[in-house]
Order: sequence, then C-alpha cells, then structure tokens
Amino acid sequence: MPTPRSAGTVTPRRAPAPGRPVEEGFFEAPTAPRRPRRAPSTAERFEPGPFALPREVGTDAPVLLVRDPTTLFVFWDFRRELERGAALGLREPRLLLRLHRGPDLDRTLELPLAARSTYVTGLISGQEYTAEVLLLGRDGWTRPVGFRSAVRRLPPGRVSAQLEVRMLRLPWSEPLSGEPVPSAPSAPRHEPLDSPRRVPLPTSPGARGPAGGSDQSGGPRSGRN
Amino acid sequence: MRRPRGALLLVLHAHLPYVRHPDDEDHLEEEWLREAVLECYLPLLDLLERLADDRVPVRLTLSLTPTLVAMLEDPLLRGRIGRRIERQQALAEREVRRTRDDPSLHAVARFYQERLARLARLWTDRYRGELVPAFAALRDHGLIELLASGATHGFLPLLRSSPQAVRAQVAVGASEHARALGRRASGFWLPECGYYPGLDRVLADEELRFTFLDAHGLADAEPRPLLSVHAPAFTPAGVAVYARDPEASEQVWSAEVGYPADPVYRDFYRDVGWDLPEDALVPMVGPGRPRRATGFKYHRITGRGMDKAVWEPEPAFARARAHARHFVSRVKERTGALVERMERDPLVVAPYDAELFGHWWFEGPAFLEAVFREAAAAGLAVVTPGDDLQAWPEAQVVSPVESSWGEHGHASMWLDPVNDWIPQALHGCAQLLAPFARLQRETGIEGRALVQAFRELLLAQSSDFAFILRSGTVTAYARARVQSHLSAFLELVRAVRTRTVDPLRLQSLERRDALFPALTLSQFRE
Repeated sequence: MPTPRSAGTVTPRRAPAPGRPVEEGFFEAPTAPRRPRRAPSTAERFEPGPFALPREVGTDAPVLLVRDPTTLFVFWDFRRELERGAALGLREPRLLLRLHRGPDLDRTLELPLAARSTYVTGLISGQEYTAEVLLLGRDGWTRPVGFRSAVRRLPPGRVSAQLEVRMLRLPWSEPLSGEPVPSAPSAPRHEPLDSPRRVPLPTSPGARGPAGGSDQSGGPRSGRN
Repeated sequence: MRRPRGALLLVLHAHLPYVRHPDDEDHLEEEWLREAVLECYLPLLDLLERLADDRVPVRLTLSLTPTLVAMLEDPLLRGRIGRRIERQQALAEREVRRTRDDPSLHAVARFYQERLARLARLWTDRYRGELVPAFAALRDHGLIELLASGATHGFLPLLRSSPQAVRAQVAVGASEHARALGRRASGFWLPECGYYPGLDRVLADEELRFTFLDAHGLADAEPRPLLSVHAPAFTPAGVAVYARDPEASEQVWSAEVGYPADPVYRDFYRDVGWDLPEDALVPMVGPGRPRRATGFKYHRITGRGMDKAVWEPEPAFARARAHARHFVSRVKERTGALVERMERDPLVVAPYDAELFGHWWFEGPAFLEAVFREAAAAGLAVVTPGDDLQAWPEAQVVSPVESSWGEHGHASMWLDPVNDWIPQALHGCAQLLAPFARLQRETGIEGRALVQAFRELLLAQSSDFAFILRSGTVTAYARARVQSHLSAFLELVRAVRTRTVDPLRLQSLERRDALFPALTLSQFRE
C-alpha cells in the first residue's frame, strides 16, 4: 500500500501548547514547521522527462506552478511555429527566462536553448510573479516567444498582519452557487444488511430509517446532543 | 443559540489509487486493495456497528474517494477479495500447526485464525462483499457523514494551469459519489489537502459546502482568522474550511512521538512473508512469485533492528485504549481552555488517512473505537462538519492560502525533479482534449474513444504516482502507470483525429480501466 503522505512523521517536538488568545483577541495555533525542502537548482532540470508529448501540442505562454513559498517551477512547450517565428532572423539565439515580481523585473536567467522547464528559487513569499521566455541573438536583439505567463502569487509563509474581521452568516439550507441544488440520482439498490445480532440498518428487512424514529426502535443514536 | 462546548471533529480519508489488473490475480499492487479491505475497511465497519449496538454516540466524518469506490464496486476485484480471505484462512491453519510447539507464537497464530474467521463472516454474510452500500447505510442511519473527493485524487494546485482539469476532478468526484452512494455529499476532501486561492469557487459551483486544509492553509489566511484553527472560516465563495489541528495530527501521525510508535504495538515490517521458506508461501503468494507481506506478523515494535519480542494482543489493545483515553483527555483539556473565550464551539479537527488504522497501525481500529467510547464517557461531543455548520452558521470570511498536508506543507512531494514531467504532460494533454470537449462529440465510436481518453487522463492525474516517484518506493510501477495512461490518451485522441478508432483496442482499454461508468466529456469544461 502506498505510504501515508501527510506531513507529521517528522522530527520529534515538544507537544504544542493549546491555542491561546494573542493580540486583540486573535487566537493562534502552532502550525507544523514550514521550512521548504531544499529547492532543486536550475541545473537539475534540463533532462527531458520520461514522457514526450507530440510536437503539435504546445502552449502560448510559460506556466508557473508554486512549489513552496520561495520557489516556482516554470515550464513551457511552445508550439513549433511560435518558436520558429521568434527565432527568425536571430543569429545563434540563446534562451532567456525573465521573471517579473509585480510590474518589476526580478531576474533574467539564461538557459540552454533546449530547456523546457526550470525551478526559480530564492523568491519572496507572498509576492506575485509572472514569467516570459525570450530569444537573444548574438547581436543583442531579443524577441519574445509567445506571451507572458499568468500571474502566480506565492503563499505568504506566515500569519497575516491584516486584522479586519468580517463575518458571514450562511444558513445550511441556502445554496452556495445561487442555483438549485443538483438532484441526487436515483439511489442504487442496496442489498439488505441483516444480522440478528446487529442493529437493524436502513436496508435491513423490516427496519425503519432515521426519519422513522430509529432511536426509539433500537437503532444507533447520533452523537449530536 | 446554545452555549458553546468543546468538540472533536474526527475525519478519516479512505483512498487508494485505481489498482486493477484483470490479467493477474496476484498482482503486487492490486494487493493494496485486499490489504485495505481486510485490515482497515472491514474492521472500521465492524467497530462502527459495534458502537451503534452499544448505543455509543458516533459521528465520524469519512471520505471515500471515487477510485476506491470504483474498486469496491468492481465484481472482479470483489471476487478476488473473497479468494484472498480463503487463502489467508488456509495460511492461518498452517501457521497454527507450525507454531504449536511455541506457546507465545501459537497464541498469536490462533489470534489471527479467529480474526480471519470473523472477517470472513463479515465479508460473506454481513456485507455480502458489498462495502459501498454498507457505508451508505451507516450514513443514512446517522453514524457517519460521507465526503466526496477528487475523481482520481489529482493534486489540484498542480492542475490549476488547466481549469478544465480541476473542474473535472471536482465535478466527476462529486457526481460519482452521488451515483455510487445515492446522495450528493455536502463536503469534499481535497486530495492531499491541496488548496489554492480560487479553488473554493469550483467547490461552491458543485454545492460542496465545506472542505479541509492543513493548519497553515487557514492560519495564514488573509485577513488573519480570529479563531485560528479552532473554528471553520468561510472562503469568499462561501465554502467553510476546517483546518487540521497540529497536536492531534502529531499524536497519531508522528513516527517518533506518536502513539503508533509505542513498543508494545505490533511491528509492521516483520512478516512471515520474509521469514518462512519460499515453498511455504506458495499457497499465499502464488507459484514463482516474489516474497511479499502476508499479514502474519508475530512481533512487536520493541526497537530498531530485527531482534524483536513477540507481540501480545491483549497488552497491545489495552495500550490502544489507554492512548484513546489520553487523546480524548487532551482534546477535552484544550477545548475546555478555549470554550470560555469563544462564542461558538471550539473544535479540534483531527483528519487521518483511514488506512493508517489497521494497516500501518494494527491496533488503530481499537484506538478509534475507544476514542468514541471515551469521548462519550467524558462528555466530549464528537461532531461532523454538517452538525457544526448547522449549529453555528456564522463564521469569519477569509482567503486561505495555497497549501497541502504534504511534506513542509506545500507541493514539493508532487513537484520535484523526479516527477515534474507529470504536470507538464498533464497540462499538454488537457490542451489537446479541450477542443473536443467544446465540440461535445460524445456519440458513436469516436465519442466513446474521447470519453475513454478523458478517463485515461483522469487516471494519469492521480497524485499517488507522483508521490511514489518522489518517496522512492515502487517507482517503476508508478512511472509505468502514468506513461501507460498518457500513451492511451494520446493514442485515442490521434485515432479520433484521423477517424481510425479501432473498436477492439478501444474495448480493451475500456475493460482495463473500467471506472466512472457515467463519465461524459461535458464534465471536462472551463
């Protein structure tokens, strides 16, 4: 069976103290350590993976995925005509990845021409980033390949300093989507679960369901009280 | 409105990836299902019914993932589970004979023999090999609240570059739950607790009213949640998010300081499958098959290394009850300290993989049963999210942050140089499928081929395979599974494009990957 994947099988720590109110009535809870795993270096990522997509599959822009609060994984696989168009007229083109933090250029990475992905490490948690791929010719001209990526915001990695409290009352009966609640399909036929020892379950012969007052008829009680 | 009281919200997440190998009854990975049924799901149903018989209040929150439900419904796999029980019972008989000159081992062998006889009666007589209706019946009777989950347990933060893929995981997961269990779920278990801002809208569109995050997913939300992880908050889309309690997690999960590390408990790793001569294992593992675990384990944890003391059932189960008493007393103590300062019930939210209880921690089901008994005795309420939200419909509105319950709380288990080719390939395949979904081509053999391609893409999205590649266990299997589903996907899409769908090949894929009978291409939409 696959091993459990939840974090928590980690180094021993003292039992955390129970939550306690801190500033202005806010409670806090000790959360698990969130130190990111060692982020891969960019050099680790230029080998092609074990599955290659056909060349007609391609994207118009690089894609950013959040690995941890200071690391983004950027990948791209532009359609061939986009790559050809960008390279047209450039001599000995090289590949550049530009990463922007908000409206500002954060860094430019030069990568092998065949690269299709990279990890960008040492970023600032909580900030918004975008990326674009360019080709740089020997004469210094650059030309973008496709469009800039969608914006990705890194998780903050700490509790928020915003202390505004806005409450919402949302009765259980009120739909979330503003649309009628989808109806359930017809119930599958359940075989009866009968046993002289066990409590009668709803599908047992002669048993009454919860709405019929199962508590009085010997059925299990809800934990609600 | 009643006065607040402390409450425990206990959640089990029951999940296995789709491991079905029709051509090989003794397939090693298919064994995961049989182990989980015998060691986890049957004991869980058994303990829930026993508690109900004893009039102990039970409110358990339980997710059953669509891949697990599909396997539990599968007649081929159900038949194999029945035969596995028979083989286990035959091995038990031989073990009772083999150990007759060693009283301590013999007592354990007899324990297994009796346990297997009980499990056989439950499987055959009580549930008739159908566990899905049994869980639905317990839900209908008010013992459990069932949650839906992602169709194939896709890790949604890494699928978000393809909104259709995220929506499909949620929509197919919700509709499969309703199909198999007869009613739509109100809550959704996010695979790996993987969340990103905006995912709440997708859940709300499916009328999924609540979900679960790891502690920092809520604790780091903006604005800061007033009650931290001790109460749910509403997302901007109105979905209630509950956060995992760090202490309750560590008490059960931690390999170092958690309850399961107690040396009196049964050791997971030492098994007669590694100790007995190979010919003695043939009836269990099949001829010419490599050794494997059999479930017959005679030793307790004792310490590191192979020199281990013999396991004794009674002291081990007594320790599980003592640990349950401690667990409940800590929840009561902690919520008791909060109750005077909160205007709603303070909660301890304790989610665990269901397979921890019985498989990894053999005495785990006894612990769970004792938690309910001890909570009842101590006057500690055990509630589900539905109970909680109906009693306390008001909560703070916050925006939870991108997070997971994996190592270090983010995506590094599923996004690493060993497995980052997977999200790239999944993104490309989603791009390929999208135009067909927009055209709504669902009829005829090409429509069938596209639906099967969609099924293969969903299977390739399973978070389990990327996790295995990163954790370094059965990596060859995981890699082959992802490659196989992606290859089948591309093959089918190419065949549709060139109008060369081979009916026999299509039928063979439909038989191999035979889940989600109601799947439609319209579920792959933005």
